[in-house]
Amino acid sequence: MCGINGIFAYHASASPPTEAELVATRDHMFRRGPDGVGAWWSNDHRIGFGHRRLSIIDLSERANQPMTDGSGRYTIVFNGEIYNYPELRRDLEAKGCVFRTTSDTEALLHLYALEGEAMVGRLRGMFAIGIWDRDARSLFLARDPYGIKPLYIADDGWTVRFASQVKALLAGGHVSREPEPAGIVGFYLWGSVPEPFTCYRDIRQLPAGHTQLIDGSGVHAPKPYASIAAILAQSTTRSFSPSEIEARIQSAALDSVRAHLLADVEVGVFLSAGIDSGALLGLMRDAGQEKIRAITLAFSEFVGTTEDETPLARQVANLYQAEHVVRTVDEAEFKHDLPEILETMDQPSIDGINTWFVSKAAKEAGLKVALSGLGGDELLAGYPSFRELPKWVKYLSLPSAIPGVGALGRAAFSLFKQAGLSPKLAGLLTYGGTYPGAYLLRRGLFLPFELKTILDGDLLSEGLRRLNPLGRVGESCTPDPRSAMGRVSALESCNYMRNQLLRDSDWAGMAQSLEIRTPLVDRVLLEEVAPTLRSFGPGFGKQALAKAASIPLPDSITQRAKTGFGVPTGRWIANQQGSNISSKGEASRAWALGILDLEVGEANHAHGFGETLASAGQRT
Amino acid sequence: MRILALVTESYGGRGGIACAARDFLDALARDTRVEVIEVLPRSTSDPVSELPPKIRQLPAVRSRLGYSLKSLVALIQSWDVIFCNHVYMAPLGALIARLSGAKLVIQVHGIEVWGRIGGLRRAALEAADWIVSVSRDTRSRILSACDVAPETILVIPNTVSGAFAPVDRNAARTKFRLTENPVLLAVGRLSDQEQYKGHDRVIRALKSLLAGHPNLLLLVAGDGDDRARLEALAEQEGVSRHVRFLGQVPQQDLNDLYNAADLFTLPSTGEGFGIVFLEAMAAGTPAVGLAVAGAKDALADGDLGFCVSEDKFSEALAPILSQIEGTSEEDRQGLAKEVHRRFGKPAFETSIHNLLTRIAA
Repeated sequence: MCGINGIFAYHASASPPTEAELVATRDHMFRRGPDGVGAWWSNDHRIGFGHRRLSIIDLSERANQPMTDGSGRYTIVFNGEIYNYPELRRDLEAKGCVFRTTSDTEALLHLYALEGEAMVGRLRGMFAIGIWDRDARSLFLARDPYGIKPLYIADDGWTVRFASQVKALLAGGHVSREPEPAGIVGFYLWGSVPEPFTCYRDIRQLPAGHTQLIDGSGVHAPKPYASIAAILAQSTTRSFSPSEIEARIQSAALDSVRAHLLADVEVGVFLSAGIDSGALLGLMRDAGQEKIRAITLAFSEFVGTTEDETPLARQVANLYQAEHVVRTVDEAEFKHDLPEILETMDQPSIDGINTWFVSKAAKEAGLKVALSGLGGDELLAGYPSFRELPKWVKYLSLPSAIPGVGALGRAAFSLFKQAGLSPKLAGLLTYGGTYPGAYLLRRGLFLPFELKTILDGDLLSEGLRRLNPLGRVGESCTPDPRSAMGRVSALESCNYMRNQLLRDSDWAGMAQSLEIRTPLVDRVLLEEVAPTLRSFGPGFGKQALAKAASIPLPDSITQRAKTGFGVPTGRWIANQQGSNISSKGEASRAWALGILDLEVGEANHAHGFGETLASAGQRT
Repeated sequence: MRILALVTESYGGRGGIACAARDFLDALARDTRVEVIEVLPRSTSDPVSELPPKIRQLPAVRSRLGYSLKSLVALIQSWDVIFCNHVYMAPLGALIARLSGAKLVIQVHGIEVWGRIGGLRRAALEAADWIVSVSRDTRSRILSACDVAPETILVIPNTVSGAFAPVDRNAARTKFRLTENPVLLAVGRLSDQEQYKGHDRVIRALKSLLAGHPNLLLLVAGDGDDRARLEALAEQEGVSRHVRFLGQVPQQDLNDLYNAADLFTLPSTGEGFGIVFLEAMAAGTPAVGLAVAGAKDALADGDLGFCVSEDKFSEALAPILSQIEGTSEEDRQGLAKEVHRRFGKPAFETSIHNLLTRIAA
C-alpha cells in the first residue's frame, strides 16, 4: 500500500517534466507511504516516477520503489498487494527469472516482461500499477478488477500525469482545476463521485478492471480486461443445493482470508457486531494466525443502548481469542479531526468518517494492516436491495413503461410533499421499472428531478448528459448476470461499493497510513461464489458465511437485525451544519449540501474540491 | 487508406488555415499507408500549379448546397477516412462518414470552437473518431464543450517550415534599412475583427520603454482595416516616430524580417496556436506572448519564448529587453534548433504517422 505518481512528456513539443512537480505530487501523498520515498527518471528525462512506501512485504530497502529490472528495460511503481505472489514467484523462477528481493513488486516486473499486458489476468489482489518499457517507450497502467486501489490520470495533450490521489495531481501545479459537470452532478446523485469522473475535467480515474497504454502517439483508450458483471454472467447455470453452497462459500472465504494474510507485518481486523467482520476473524484463526488484534469502534452516545456494538464484538473477540481493542469516539473528537478529515478526503463523499476513526484506532494500536468485512453484503446478498430491487422491477416495469406515468407520479407527490413523504416515492414510477432505475432509486442521494433546486441549470443538464446515470449504471450489469441476485450484486459492487465504500476505505485508511484489506472483495472468491448466486435468496449467503469458520458465529450475531454501520457520525455532521435531522438519509443529504461550505472554511481548501465547485458558481 | 478531405481551403488558398491544411495533407500523402487523398475545397484564392503525389483536388464550390451535393457525389467511391479541416465542415463530414462507414477525423484550430458549440457541430465532434487539435488549450475547450473521450483528441501543433532559420542579421537589417536598436516586431493581420492580436498593447507600452531605449523601433508587418486606427493610436501616444507599419510583407521576405528583429512580440489573447511565434523563434529571434490560449503552446509555457500574463505584459517588456540584450549568435542558433526539434517537419510527420496508426488500429 503506497502512493504512486508519474509524469510522462510523450509529445515531442512538450517540455521535460520538472523534478519539483514530481516531488510535489509525490509528497502530497506522504500519509500513504511514510516508510520510504523514491524517485526515478528515464535517461532522457521525459518520464519520471515517484513513490511513497508503506512497507508490508519485504521490509528491506531493496524492495523500495520505483524498481527497475535487472536488464534496465522495465521500471515499475505499484500501489497495492498481490496475494498470489508466492505462486507467481515459483512459476516465474521455474521459467528462469532471478529475483533480487522477496517483494511482490519484483514479481510484477518479471511478469510484465514475460507476458506484457496480459499479465493482469494472473494477478490476485488490489493494485494500481505503472510500468515504463524503455525499449518500446510506452507506459502501461493497470487497475484491479474491483477498483480497490485508485489510479487517477490527467492528460493535457502533451504530457500525461498519474497519481493515487486527485489532490496530489493538483498539488503538482500543472493540472487544470476546471470543474467536470458529470463528477459534480454524480456526487449529488450518489453521494460519491462516480468513476471515471472526478470533480475536475482533466482528471479521470482509470476504470476498474482496465489497462491503459501511453506511448509517443499519446494516451490510448482504456482497455477492459475484467468485469464483475462478466464473471457473474459467465458462471454456470446449474443449481446448487444449500449444503453445496455453504461448502463452497466457506472454503472460498477461508482461501481468500488466507491469501489476504500475506504480510511481513502483523495483520489486524476491524470488528463490528456484524457477520462479515466476525466471520473474517474466525477465518483468520482457522488460517493459522496466532496473534490477532481486533479493533472495534465505540461511541460514547451509544453506551448502554442497543446500538452499541461493543458487547457483541467483545463476545466474538473472546470466541476467537483475539485481543480486543475498543476505541471510543465522541463528538468533540469528531469536531477536532474534521479539518484533517476534509483535507485528506480526496473527493467529496458523504461517508468514510467511521473508517477514518477505526483506521485511526488501528494506527494507534501500532497496526499497519487490517482486514475489513467490506464487500460481504455485495457478494452474498446482504443488503435490502437484494429483496427490494427484483420486487420493484417485477411490479413496476409495466406501469412505468406507460408514457407520462412517471411525470404524473411526481406531480401527485408534489401535492402531498408537505406530508413529509420521501422524494423517492415520487420517483418510483419514473425509475422503479428497470434495474438501473430501481438502483438509482435505492441508492440515490438526490434524484435527478430534485437536483434542479440544488444545482445551476446549465451545469445540471451538461452533467446529466455526460454522466448518463442510467446508461452508466446499466453498463455495470452488462453482460446480464442472468439472475436477480447477480444483477443486484453487480450493481452494488460496481457502483456503491466501488465509488463510495472502496474510495472511502482508501482515503480514510491511507490518511492513517493503514492498509485496509478486503478479503470479501476478491476476484477468485467471486468466481467461486458467482455460480451459486442464483440458487440462493437474500439472507442465505450471509448465514453461510457466519458458519464459515470452524467455530461458527453465535446466534447473537447471526440473528441480530441489520443496522448498517450504526454510527452517530451522521448526527454529528448534521450538528456541524446546524441541521435538524431525523434519519440517516437526511444526515447524508445535509452533509452533501454542507460539505463544500465546511471545506471552503478550512485552511486547506486550496487543495480541495470545494473551491472548484464553489467557484463554478453552480450552487444556489 | 483512401481519404476524402472536406476543406475550407488548402492548395491555392491563403492564410493560416489553408497553410495548416496543406501541411496536414502533404504529410498524410507522404505516409505509405495512404493510397489517395481527394480534396474538396470550399474556396481557392490562387491557381493551383502542382499537387503532391497521391493528392487530387476538385474545383472549389462556394455555395453550401453545391458543396454538400458534391460531397455526396463523392460517395460513389469508397473512403476509409473523412477528414474535415475545420469544424464548419464537421456536420457534413459526420453525415458522409456515417453514409460511407468511414472514420471521421476533424481538425480544430482555435477561436472557431471557443465558447458554446452549436448543436450540429457539437454532435459531429462527438461522433468523430478522432479530433485533431492544434493546441492543448483548444483541446481543453473541446473537452469542456463536448462529451468526448479525452483519448480521442490528439494535439498536433502547427509545424514550422525549414525556410525559417537564422541568417546573417546585419544583412537582414540592411535589407529593411534598420538603424534603430532594439527592434521589436509584430506580425499579423490588422483587422478590426482581430483586435485581440494586441498591437494596441505593444504601442501603448512603447512610451515607458523609450526612457531606457530611446532608439527603439516597433515594426508592424501585416495589413487590414484596423491599420488607420493603430496609426492614430501611435500618434496619440506620441510614439509614431518609433512605429513603422510595413504593410503586407511577401512570404519570401519574412525570414529576413524575423532575423532583423531583436524581439518578436504579439500579446494576443485569441491565438488558437500562434504560428508566427514559431516562425520568429525558428529564425533565432526571441519572442514574447501572453500565457493565454494557444500561445502557451507555441512559447512552450515559457521554455522557448517569454510567456507572460495579460496584466503583466507592459511591465514585463523592459526586463525582457534587458535580458535579450546579450543574445549571442549561439543563443539564436540554439533557439532555432530547439524550435525545429519540437515543431519542425520531422516532429509533425511523426504525429501524422501516429494518427494514421491510431486510425488503422
